[in-house]
Amino acid sequence: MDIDDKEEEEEEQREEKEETTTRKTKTKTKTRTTTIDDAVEVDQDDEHLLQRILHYNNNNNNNNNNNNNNNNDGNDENRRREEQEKRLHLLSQGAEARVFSTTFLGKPCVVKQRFRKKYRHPVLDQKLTRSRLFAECRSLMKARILGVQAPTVLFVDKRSSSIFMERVEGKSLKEVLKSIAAEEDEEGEEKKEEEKTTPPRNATAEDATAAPSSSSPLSSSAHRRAVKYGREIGLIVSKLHDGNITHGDLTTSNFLVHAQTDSIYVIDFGLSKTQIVGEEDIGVDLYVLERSLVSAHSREGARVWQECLRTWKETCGKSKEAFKRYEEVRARGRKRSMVG
Amino acid sequence: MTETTTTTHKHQTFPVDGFENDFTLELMLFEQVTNAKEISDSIKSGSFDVEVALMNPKTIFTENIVRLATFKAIASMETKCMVTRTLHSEIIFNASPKTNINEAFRRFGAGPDSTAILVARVCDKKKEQIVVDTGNSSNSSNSEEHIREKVRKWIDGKEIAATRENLQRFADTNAIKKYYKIDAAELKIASLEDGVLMRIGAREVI
Ligand SMILES: Nc1ncnc2c1ncn2[C@@H]1O[C@H](COP(=O)(O)OP(=O)(O)O)[C@@H](O)[C@H]1O
Ligand SMILES: [Mg+2]
Repeated sequence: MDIDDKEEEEEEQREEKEETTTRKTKTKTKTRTTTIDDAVEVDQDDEHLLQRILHYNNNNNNNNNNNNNNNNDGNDENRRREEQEKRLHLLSQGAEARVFSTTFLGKPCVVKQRFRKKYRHPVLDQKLTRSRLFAECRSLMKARILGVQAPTVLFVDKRSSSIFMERVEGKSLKEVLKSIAAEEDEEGEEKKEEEKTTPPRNATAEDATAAPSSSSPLSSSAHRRAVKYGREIGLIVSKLHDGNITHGDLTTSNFLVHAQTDSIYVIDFGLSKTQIVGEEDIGVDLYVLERSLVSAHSREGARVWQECLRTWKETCGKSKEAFKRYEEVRARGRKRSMVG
Repeated sequence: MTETTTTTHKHQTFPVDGFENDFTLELMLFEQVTNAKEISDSIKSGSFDVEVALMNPKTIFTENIVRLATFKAIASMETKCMVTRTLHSEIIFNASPKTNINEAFRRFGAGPDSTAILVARVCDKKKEQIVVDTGNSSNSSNSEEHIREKVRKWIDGKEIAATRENLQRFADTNAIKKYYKIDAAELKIASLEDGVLMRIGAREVI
């Protein structure tokens, strides 16, 4: 048993060496052989696989079902359902990537595809696209390994520059906060009506800190949810920072709230860094998050941010030095916005 | 119907994403296998005339792992970048988080000592079509059953339903965690299967 383990370990070390050497030679050949012609050649069929998966649509399904009717394997029902779920469905079109919704391995899935920039030199474009694809994918996986709730990766296709990942069923935090705010406004109206007849409640100390940017306190359920989201986000961000990842784009559209569990997922690691993570990056990460929460969603967002920052300070090993830097970043930001 | 058994099917079939019209994946599961050495030898020598991947249910513990490895193998075949010689060996190779072929076979393939074996077979729909077109009296589902029967005769063991539940009974969780390097932090937010799929699906990136 011991000998076995030892052998295996030695073998693993040997392998790791092997792997790194093959990788080195691979990159060498790549730089040597990449020409404009190559890039154009790849251009022609590199989306083939992705298109096959996405275009497996209605039309195909119908034909297929007819063909399969005489095939009485037990899984026909399953198969039909899987096939019917598969549609070409564009969820989002961003500046660098589009997101499609599909199924993969019978699971709800999204495909995030980085696309070509026609104005870039084709070789440079391919290199940039690929390195960003890999960086995003690595950060996503690293986040999961750190125990951060982010969508799990199912497949990466470098030819079409796409990441296949678990689809999180739910809305973005941005939308959720908006709908909480709308509910609050309705309730607020009702309360005002009541307040005409009953004497106003004394604001408690907690309420005063709870909603620094607003006069009226949050309802208890809105308050509870804001605190819960804030804690979860604070924990996510602190795990990322402790694990040497900065996200680079911590806005409320890059957090998803799961419809069933009401728990927070972080997505979109397209601007993340995993190598040299300095205090400046951490400070900026926090500042971006604060701006996104506080400016756009007033009371609810401010409550989320407050809880988030508290949790991050408590749990992040780097909080002491990085917090100072965050305050500097913040002061700079203030100055800039006063001038601009 | 001239079938000798009236029992429900024990095998499971799955579509292959993106290749639904061309291929299906079929799984058969055997336990109490007594001739593992013989059958793995006959695979090596090529003397068994059905192409299959013999997988180790201790490490290949869900159907989705085989589905993903198969999908990747077929995608490699289509782009002519397979690393191993056959589609079925490529499946075993693709179940590994690393690119060492021998190790992949040792850990994820069934070996001479295996008592439980998962048989994965890719059915090429086009080839079946040829059999039907050339006027062979058997229709395609019969010829498929014929192949299954061959596999059953070849393996001395008890065929059980290739369901997720049955497969998971053989899982060696410690080995899986070790081979794929999955630890407790990740398992707080992920299933073991998620962790495995991620490492297989994004192997090129790691
Ligand atoms: N895993 C996912 N599950 C569900 N929806 C997603 C997922 N990933 C992305 N989306 C949707 O696609 C949108 C864009 O994705 P994102 O990764 O943020 O791309 P971008 O870099 O263009 O902002 C998200 O705001 C979200 O609505
Ligand atoms: Mg985004």
